[in-house]
Amino acid sequence: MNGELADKSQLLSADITSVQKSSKSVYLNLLKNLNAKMIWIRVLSIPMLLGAFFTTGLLQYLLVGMFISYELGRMFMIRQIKKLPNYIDYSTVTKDMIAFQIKLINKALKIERIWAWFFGPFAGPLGYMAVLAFKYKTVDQIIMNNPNLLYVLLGLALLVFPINYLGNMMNKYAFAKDVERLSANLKELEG
Amino acid sequence: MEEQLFLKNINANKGIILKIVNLYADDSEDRKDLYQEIIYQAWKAVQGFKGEAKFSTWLYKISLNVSLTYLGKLKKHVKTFENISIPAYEMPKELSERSDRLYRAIRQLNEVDRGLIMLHLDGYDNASISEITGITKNNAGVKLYRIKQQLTDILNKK
Repeated sequence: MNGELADKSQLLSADITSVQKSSKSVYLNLLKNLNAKMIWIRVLSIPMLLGAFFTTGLLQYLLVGMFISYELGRMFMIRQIKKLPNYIDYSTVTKDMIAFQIKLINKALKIERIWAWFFGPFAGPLGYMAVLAFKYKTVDQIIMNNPNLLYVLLGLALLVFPINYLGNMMNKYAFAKDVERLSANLKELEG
Repeated sequence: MEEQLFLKNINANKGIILKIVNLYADDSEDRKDLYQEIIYQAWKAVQGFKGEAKFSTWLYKISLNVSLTYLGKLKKHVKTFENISIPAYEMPKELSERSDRLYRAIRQLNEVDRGLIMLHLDGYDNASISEITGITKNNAGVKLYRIKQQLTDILNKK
């Protein structure tokens, strides 16, 4: 019976196709998402640098500062991502291969969390300060016109908690099912 | 391994890929994708193939491993990689009623058990199954016994 399927299939056709590269494993898909996020950071940081060329004073410093912090963060993240393999050796023992993938997924998710906690607290306050700097030009003016500035900045920084919570929920929604599936398979193999 | 030799080996063992693909993918589109993914991963890993094991065993392992971590149709991110000519996937012709029933029953098992019973049906002993999957030899025996019981139950229900 088992040979029946093989015999009845006629794969040796004259048709040829090309092998396609796919990121269809859970881990490689996650890695791809992380790389896409790095591109997004660049997309966000470049306008800041461009904006700095056309502004002066406090706003210029802020924009340059934001650009540098985003780029430093990006560099750090890319260094971490580069440590992750972009290739899974599927010729290894099944149990080891699944355990390795789970380990890599957790590492990749950890890198994402670091990214979120690094950028999260600064993004809101810096953005708000940039708007104020555009409006009031000097630090003195900003402070004079915004008596509650410190609280607002603190509030914006604290937004990192709900935002990261949402981010974690999104990751759970996107990957939890797949990770659960891998873990279940590993458990089965560990017997 | 050269491309021609690789393709020759793939062709000689195409049944393995097809069997696994039919057990793990739900529809023809998915099967085609999984088929390509297995060959792609085999091609990437083939330099590490030193001939210590049979090519068929090596390919079985890759096919199983890819299938067990395959995302399926919900998350496709495909782009053309390079022009390695491979035999196109073709839908298998219809199986006999008996075989079809068994395949349907196997598909109801969990993913790992599907692979284990398939290896067993293909004549791999417990030691070989242990080498491929990493499961212990004793556990393979116990699991296979349970799987057979499960399959009997499924087939008797129908």
